[in-house]
Amino acid sequence: MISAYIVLGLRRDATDPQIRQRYLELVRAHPPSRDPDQFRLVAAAYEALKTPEARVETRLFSVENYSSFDEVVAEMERAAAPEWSPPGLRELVEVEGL
Amino acid sequence: MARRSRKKKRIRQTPKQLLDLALRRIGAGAGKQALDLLKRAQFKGASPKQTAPLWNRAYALRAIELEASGLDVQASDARERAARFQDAFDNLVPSAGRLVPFLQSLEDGPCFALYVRYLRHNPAHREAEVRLADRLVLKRCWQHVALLDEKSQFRRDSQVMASAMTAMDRGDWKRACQILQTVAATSGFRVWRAFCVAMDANTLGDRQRITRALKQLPSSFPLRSSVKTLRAAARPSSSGGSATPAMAKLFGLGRSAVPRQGRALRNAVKSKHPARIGSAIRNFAKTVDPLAPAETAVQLALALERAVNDGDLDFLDHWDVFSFVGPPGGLRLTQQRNLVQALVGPEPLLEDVGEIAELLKNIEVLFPEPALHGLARSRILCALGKAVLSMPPWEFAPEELDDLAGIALEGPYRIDRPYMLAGLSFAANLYSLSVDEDPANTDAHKRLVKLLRGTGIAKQSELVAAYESYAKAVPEDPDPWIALAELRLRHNAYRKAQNALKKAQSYAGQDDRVIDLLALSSIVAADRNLRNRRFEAAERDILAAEARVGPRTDPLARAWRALLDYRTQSRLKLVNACERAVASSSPLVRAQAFCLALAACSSPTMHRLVPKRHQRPLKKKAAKAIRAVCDDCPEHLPQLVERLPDSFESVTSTQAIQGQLAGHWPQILRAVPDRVMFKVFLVAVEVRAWSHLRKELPRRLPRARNRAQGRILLLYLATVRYLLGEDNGGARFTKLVDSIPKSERHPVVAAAAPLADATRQSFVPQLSLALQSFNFAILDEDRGLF
Repeated sequence: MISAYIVLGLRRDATDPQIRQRYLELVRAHPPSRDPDQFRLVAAAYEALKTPEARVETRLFSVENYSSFDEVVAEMERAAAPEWSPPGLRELVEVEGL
Repeated sequence: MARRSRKKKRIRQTPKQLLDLALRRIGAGAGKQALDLLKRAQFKGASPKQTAPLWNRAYALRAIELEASGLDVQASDARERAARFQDAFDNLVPSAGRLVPFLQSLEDGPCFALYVRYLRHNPAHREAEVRLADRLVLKRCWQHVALLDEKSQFRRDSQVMASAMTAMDRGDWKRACQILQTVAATSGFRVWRAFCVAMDANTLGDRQRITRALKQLPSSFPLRSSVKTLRAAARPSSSGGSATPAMAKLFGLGRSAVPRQGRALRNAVKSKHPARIGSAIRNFAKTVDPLAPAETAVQLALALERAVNDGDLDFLDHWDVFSFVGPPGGLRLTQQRNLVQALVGPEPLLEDVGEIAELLKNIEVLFPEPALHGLARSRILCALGKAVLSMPPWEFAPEELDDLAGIALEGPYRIDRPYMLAGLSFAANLYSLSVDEDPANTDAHKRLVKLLRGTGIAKQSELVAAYESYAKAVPEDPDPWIALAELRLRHNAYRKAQNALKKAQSYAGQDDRVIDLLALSSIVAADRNLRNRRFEAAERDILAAEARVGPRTDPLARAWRALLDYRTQSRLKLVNACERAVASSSPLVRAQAFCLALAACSSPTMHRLVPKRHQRPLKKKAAKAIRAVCDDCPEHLPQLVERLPDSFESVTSTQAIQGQLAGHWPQILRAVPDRVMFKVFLVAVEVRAWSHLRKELPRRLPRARNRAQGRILLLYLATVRYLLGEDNGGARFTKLVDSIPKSERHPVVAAAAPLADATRQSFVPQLSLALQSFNFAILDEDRGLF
């Protein structure tokens, strides 16, 4: 998956708990009942990064079959621009570096 | 003009002022400065009673500073000095004015303990409670609240605050406001209620409410950047009513800019201007992935390059796309990743050995997480093994093998196999290294055991070791345990097999293979005991086998029951024992049991236990039983044949039995399922049922499941035609081989080997030789009559 890290908004050295925590936050923000497309994207990204093995496989062997350059750009746009939701306290604390 | 003195007038400070300054530095966490001030205060005559608690805090903070600088010895010294003043601090009840700095200098537990001590002599301290509330919310150390009195307002409010944390974490600020409504106006948590109101107002775009809420926040409020962002959004001059874009910027997401940057990138591509495209790629990558923009920029550059190469974009023919997107250090990573993809792709790219070396060397750069290095190396080695195997051996030069070995195995590699097998052996080495790097790499384990088992390049002990390592690494997978048990059984090591099967049973208790093998291991044990004349033990084993018997092991259990009864009951003839054992069983089981008993008797050890005169009637019975299958249920003949190959030689050597089967080959060949088709076809080649096979093969060809199966059927057909004399040379074989791409020949080469064995007794040794070496030019050589 080209944009698993973009979808979850994580650094490349994110650890298992960080990935899980971010996934749970995004699932709460985009529950399948309300936002099925975004939820699917988040779930697929989480599957691609869930375990150290999956992360290695994703970063080494994820095959990108896109028919055109435009499709790659569109995929990245979709991954990076979910509906804006107000940040939670944990995110604010993290950004402040506390 | 008189020269002005630059020397500043030194302000004379009293000991009290110095102590106040020291306390302020302690509150700010500056241990070294606090110590300096304390020394000055002591020099000026400050009383030890006043300074002692401050020394404690100052030395404790200094110890933390020194430890952070790596000066552990000095840190422990500072800690010892702090301990000297610990009693003074433990008895301290600070005044209201001095409480907050002391609280700030303490860890969570001691901090709350000090405040509790303070409350015993004083009323609640508003500012201190605000600081304690901040600490509770940020560090979530709610357990320390239990130190406070149950009736205290702060403790009650902290419970409300704790219940609002979930909503706050979720970003549901409206709900958090509702929960915090009950917080008292004088509570330390009122600040956090005000912040929740500001965040909620921000979501609704209510500027006035944001301003009102922000006015309630003290300057010491910890989330400074968030407050600043909210304040900027609440100003009348700001463009929108909501701080959403500013918030997004604060988070480094810049998500509002995504569509704009996307448009800019598309326009840049349309403009066909390389520098503009490079800049647009960089900006877009920064916007969509602020945490790793370089890697995303490279991904975009690669996608663009691919589009140009595929002809989707008809420009930039000689444009080096990477020169525009970022520093080369960042570029290598994705290029290397693409190389790995190329290794496992349909067309392996092994010629660029240097790239592979670079990839293996740069694992640390490619994966920032140290825990992933071994995993990544393991997967790359596995990918390399797959790539080596997918290359036909004749295209794999020994020097290439040397180069690759130097990189992957980190040392010289001794090619100790014949040339055609060198690649297989090397791939096995790569898989072994891969499982060493990551023992849980199931894919590498599976590939290693498949390679070792399928090609026969490993000794039995190596194969067993590979299965053992697989089973140890992934114990919950029953497959390696089952395979291990099969291997053990093949060497009659039934106890070891049973141990492996117990493991397999614990993970896949209902698996038919496990139950079958358990029964089989008991039969093997019975066989061993029978041969060694330990009849009681054999009886126990047979009973155990009969308890677990399945459709596959039923005939075996019956055959060995008959052999055991024959040996233990003196007046019982073998044929009668067999008859008794197969009573009330189906014709197929009868025939199989007779054949198996007959095959067992022909082995050297059993030969001594069963005299020849007792075997003869059994042969007649076996022939009769096979005839019954032919007459009554010919549809079961393939199953009979399928079970026979292991002992086929002994059974088919019996003219009577061979004669019985001969009339039924068309039915057998027609009915045999695809799963065991080649096994039975091999038997047909061996017993010279060639003409029947010649008719059957063209019927099977259109039904071939895949291309490889179709090619193997064509190989069988060519062989049978040659055996029947329809062809005189190797033209048909050569045509077939030429029609198969080199990278897809492996299954056909593998199928030719057993076919060579089956044709060995067919009076055409050159065919067997050609099949064995997979070189059909031999068939065109002029050999003469003698």
